[in-house]
Amino acid sequence: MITVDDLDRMLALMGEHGLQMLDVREGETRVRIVLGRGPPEPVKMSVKTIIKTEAIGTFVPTHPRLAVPMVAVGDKVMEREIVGFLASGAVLMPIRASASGHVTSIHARPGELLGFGAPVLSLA
Amino acid sequence: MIEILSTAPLSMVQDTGRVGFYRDGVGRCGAMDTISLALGNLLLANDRNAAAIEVPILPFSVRFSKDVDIAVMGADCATRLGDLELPPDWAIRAQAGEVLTLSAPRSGCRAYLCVGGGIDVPEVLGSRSTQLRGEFGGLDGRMLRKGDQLSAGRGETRLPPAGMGVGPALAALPLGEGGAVHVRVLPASEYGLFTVESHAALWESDWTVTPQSNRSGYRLSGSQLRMESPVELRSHGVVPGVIQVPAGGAPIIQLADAATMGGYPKIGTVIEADLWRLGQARPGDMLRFVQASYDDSLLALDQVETYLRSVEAMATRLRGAAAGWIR
Repeated sequence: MITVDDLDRMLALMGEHGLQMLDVREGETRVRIVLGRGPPEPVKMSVKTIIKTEAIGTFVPTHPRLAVPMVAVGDKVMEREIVGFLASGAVLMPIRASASGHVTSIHARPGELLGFGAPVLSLA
Repeated sequence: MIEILSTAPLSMVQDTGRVGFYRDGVGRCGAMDTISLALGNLLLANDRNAAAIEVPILPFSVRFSKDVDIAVMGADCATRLGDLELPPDWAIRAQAGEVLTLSAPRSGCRAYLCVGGGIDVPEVLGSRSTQLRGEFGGLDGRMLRKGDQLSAGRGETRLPPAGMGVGPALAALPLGEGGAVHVRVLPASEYGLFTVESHAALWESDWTVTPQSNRSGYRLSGSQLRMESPVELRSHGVVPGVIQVPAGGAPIIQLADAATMGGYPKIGTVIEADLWRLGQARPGDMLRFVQASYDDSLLALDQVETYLRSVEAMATRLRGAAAGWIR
């Protein structure tokens, strides 16, 4: 079975062999990766900003050593601030605010497996 | 360069310690919480033994004069890098001119500031650890003070743009329940000379870390441990973890900066794999001793190694992947 752990290996192989598209099927699982052109467009400052993931992993809104979530609806966040985590095993990758604003809604559920570019929360 | 802006006494450079010089009367020293040190080094893609600054008393602040990878590990002390609040056990790229501030700990006792490539001080007898007793190692064999300048071994970054962190070691290596710090203990050579009541007290008492505790050893209060009849011992080798019982009956756990020799009877030894748990125990904290066998002790070391390797593998993978996602 293909697991999340295989994704960056697939990406690495695509890079090595110069592939723009990869479509892999194994049993019930199918993965299709299409490479875009250049880095993803930066999120522009606007009335409404959606903070998206920049990695893959399990959504962890509350640091395991802290009592409260990094942010809640209504909180003010500053650009660059860490608003949550993506866990892979014991390692935590940050979810960063790409802009400043107030949190209007949280889209991701605790423990949810998120892919790259998944919406985590909205700012206004 | 890393400039110390403010520090309480007892902050100093430590790595995993100086091994192999007991016969010359040179103790091990090294970080009190070697797991936090190892995790910080793994996040930064450092050698696991790379030197860091051990900070036992907060607040503490430093300014970076060049961009450098850093990891702040161990005690959770409301860390700020410039105006950015850092989560516990976090590695990130510090920019030139930024100030890092560690405040009073919300949990734990010792914080570790690891840097890319490790703190660059000369090796003495195979280690960069500060040996206060002999006044060598670390920075001129002494504690750090305001105005000290240290440099990191590596300038370029090995971190994803927003840094990365690691979950609590206690969650990966759990031991015991409740609020007490649990450590496993092997009965030592004089164990059999203590009374039956003392044996029961050793395993069943709640022990408290007293304020007479430091890197040399922790003096505990709780029960009185008594021998069937007093014995006279010649001075003998003592290693970190040994639980000595002086005449008063209150045990002392010898730790990283312990002398290499001692003459008190030994009732037990905290196993090597659990010494880091003591490194984060502060005065007033409760301790419980859990009896272990020699085989348990070796297995516990294997478990620590397996955990560190899994973190290392994942950090390495994510470090590579972070570049891959943005193609």
